Amino acid sequence: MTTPLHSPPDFRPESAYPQLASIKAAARAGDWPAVARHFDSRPGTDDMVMLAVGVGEVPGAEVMLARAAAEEEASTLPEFLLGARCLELAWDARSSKLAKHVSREQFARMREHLCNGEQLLIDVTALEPQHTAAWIFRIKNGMGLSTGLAEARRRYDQVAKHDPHSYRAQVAYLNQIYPKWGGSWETVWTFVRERAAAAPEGAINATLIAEAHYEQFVWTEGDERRRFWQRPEVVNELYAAAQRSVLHPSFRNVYGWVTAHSLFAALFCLGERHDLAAPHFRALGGLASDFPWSHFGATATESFTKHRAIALRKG
Amino acid sequence: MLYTTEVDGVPTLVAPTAGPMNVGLVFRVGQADETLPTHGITHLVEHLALHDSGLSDYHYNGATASVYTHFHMQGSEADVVTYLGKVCAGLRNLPMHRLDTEKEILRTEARSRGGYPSMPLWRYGAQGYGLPGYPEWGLFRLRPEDLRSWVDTYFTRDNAVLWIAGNGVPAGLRLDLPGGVRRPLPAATSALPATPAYFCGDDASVLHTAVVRRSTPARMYADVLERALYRELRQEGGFSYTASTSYDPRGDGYATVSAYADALPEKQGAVLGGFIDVLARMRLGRIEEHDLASVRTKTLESLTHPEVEAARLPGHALNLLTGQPLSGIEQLRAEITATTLDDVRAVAVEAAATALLQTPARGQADWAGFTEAPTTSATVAAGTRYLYREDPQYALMVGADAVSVVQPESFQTVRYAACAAMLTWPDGARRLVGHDGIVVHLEPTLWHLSGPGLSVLDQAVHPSLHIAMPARDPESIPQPDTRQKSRGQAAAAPVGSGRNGLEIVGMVLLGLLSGFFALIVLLFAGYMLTADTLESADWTILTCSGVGAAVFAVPLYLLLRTRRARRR
Repeated sequence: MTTPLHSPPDFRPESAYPQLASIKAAARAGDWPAVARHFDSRPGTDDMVMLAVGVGEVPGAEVMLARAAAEEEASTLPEFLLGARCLELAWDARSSKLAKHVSREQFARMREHLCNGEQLLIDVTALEPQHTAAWIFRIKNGMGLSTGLAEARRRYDQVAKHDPHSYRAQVAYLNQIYPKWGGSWETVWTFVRERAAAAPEGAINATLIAEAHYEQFVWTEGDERRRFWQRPEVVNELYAAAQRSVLHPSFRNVYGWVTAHSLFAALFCLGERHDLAAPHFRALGGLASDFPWSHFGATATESFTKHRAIALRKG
Repeated sequence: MLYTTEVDGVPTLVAPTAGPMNVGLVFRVGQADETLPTHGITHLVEHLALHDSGLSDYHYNGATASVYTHFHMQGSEADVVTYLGKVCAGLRNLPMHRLDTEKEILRTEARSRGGYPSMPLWRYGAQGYGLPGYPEWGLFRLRPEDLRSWVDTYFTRDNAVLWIAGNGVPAGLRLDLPGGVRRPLPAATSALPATPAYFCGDDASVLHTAVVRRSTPARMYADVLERALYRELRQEGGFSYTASTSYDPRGDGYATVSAYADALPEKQGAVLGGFIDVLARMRLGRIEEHDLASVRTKTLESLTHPEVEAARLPGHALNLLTGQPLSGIEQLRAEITATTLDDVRAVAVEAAATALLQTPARGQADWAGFTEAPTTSATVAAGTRYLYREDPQYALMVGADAVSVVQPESFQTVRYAACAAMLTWPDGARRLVGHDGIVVHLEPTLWHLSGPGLSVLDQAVHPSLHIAMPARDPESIPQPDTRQKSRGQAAAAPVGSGRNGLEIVGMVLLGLLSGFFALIVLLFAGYMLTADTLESADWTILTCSGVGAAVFAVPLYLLLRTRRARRR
């Protein structure tokens, strides 16, 4: 049998989001008009972020973007995308190693890229204060630049003023308010529960609950860690969050849906509730995201495939 | 309305007023004309000249500013004649018997005023327009002959302008001043290799200055900026209580636009971010038409005040003294009316290029395109090397041309040829301040000195730059072996754990007990005592405030305390 649910999972984000695949192809080809066309339909905040992340991931895209920035005075699009590219360059310069293995020079290069991108985006948001996607990249920049919690909140509020249910903005801000970045669990839980409840039913936002539980799990040790996913209040809250968001009948596959289902599936599997994970595996239909699966087992494929097989038998 | 005349050779501006007569005698001399070793001399002259004015029941005052000195009075014609007569007599024959007393009064005045403005020294260094950022150290060395020579040079009828708000020149008014020449403004120096630049402040507030060409649009830019900052930081963000700006002509055709916003400590990041975004919007021309319109209306309204001509007299007097044009009300009105959003934007662009930003404590602004103002020197002195007693990683280099303190991450060098002043204490301590504002403070007790040691400095630095400081309380002289004692005394201090914090608190508590000058000294005692155990990040903070650290004892302590508190 070779249905998608029994084949090796497809982890490529491009497979889930055709627009992402298309803009990356255009960026790789250095075809600025083709890149720019993706924005003609005035995509919403989170789709703008997806497209910018896509362009940002293409090595060398900065050459095309810098040229476009010089040529197109009237539009902030090249600067916005260049800002996104700078963020990617920054994290490339840092590498994904633990901080103690990152050299001073690497941190200095990272900061340089972040500063370059931030200055572009300062101008973009000054010219277009309603450019919510640019503000989201500034939330991300702020984390790398250590501009602090109050500034992160100010940037998030600039998004929320125009788009109160931008999931990408909420995830970006959530990352900043984790205790590891100077925030507190109290702030985290207040924020995610409030934003999950405020979003309409069938919106992706309640996935924030799963994000926060997973982060808390990572920082839990000993017995508490072993029992973490069995705690009924955790399972119940996750279940309710999934029902409200990605499993709701009115849910549409917006940017982030693959990671959301992957996350819910993984967390239910960690709690040995493969029955509750099954609908998420089915919804994925053969797609998957690295996060969080790459954290379990030797490879994301191995752990994902193993748990999916159990889940599909049980649920 | 306004007319000009002359009183005993002094150009005089007269405008009518409905109220009591007001007069001002303005001289083209101020702190920016001084040097660090003579800093305070103009202020001292002003005090001495006023000492015998004998009109304690009346409203009179003297003010020493950056480029002018102003003797002002409100009263009857007869009082004005008496007052100005006594001021001129006082200047001609300074009451030198009052010298020590007035010096004490000035020190008290400085103490009660609190700190010194930080912007001037970071922008201009330890000279010229930077001097208002420094204590009046000249008070320790100024002699009667220095003051007489200063008066002869600057307090002359050719370097003065009189303004009168009233019905003409009062009968019997004499201004008996010696002849001289009109003194040009000092040239502006720079301690900033690149602008826009930033430095870390010592509290949660944000301060921003820019130097732009003096103009009506520039004045209006300052007011528009205030409205934008107030809206962003107070009305919408709720981060600040105060958000304000000021516009101050420097005298030489340029003006300083200053902007300030306060913040709660936990909101300081948002104030900095919001401040930077407001500046960016101004620079990119996203200026609200209604802001400009209301600034225009308000400014025009102020020109319809019946006393407007009288109110503009002091400014006119300064313009006359500095060779700047005197524009009439009608011209001003026309300029205000004609100012467009594009004009204001052009000023914002000019301001952005010369900006100097003081960030809240620990705040960086490189991300917004501001270059860090120098806290470290470009070169290290070549010469004899001495080690710090507590940590051999810190070295002192005493050379024939310069002296350096070398730390693992940075170094401070003062070249003798570019030394603004050297403070000397009877116990051997020396502090050199470079023209660029870089400070090298040396406590002989804390270094392994041998051979000529610090005596090289006394030969190498020109005697006219030496400032002999009074003897210190022996307890306040840092000793490596007294550190335990200091720490013990500070055990009850509010800062709990942290060896460095306790040491600093201990030093500062001792300093507060030892009085003002000991306090200044102790800052550096604390600075050097703890130097060996501070981390590199601490050094960044310390050196960040280091240029000004010589004068900011208490703020530095608060800064360090805040830092310690946050890290726990």
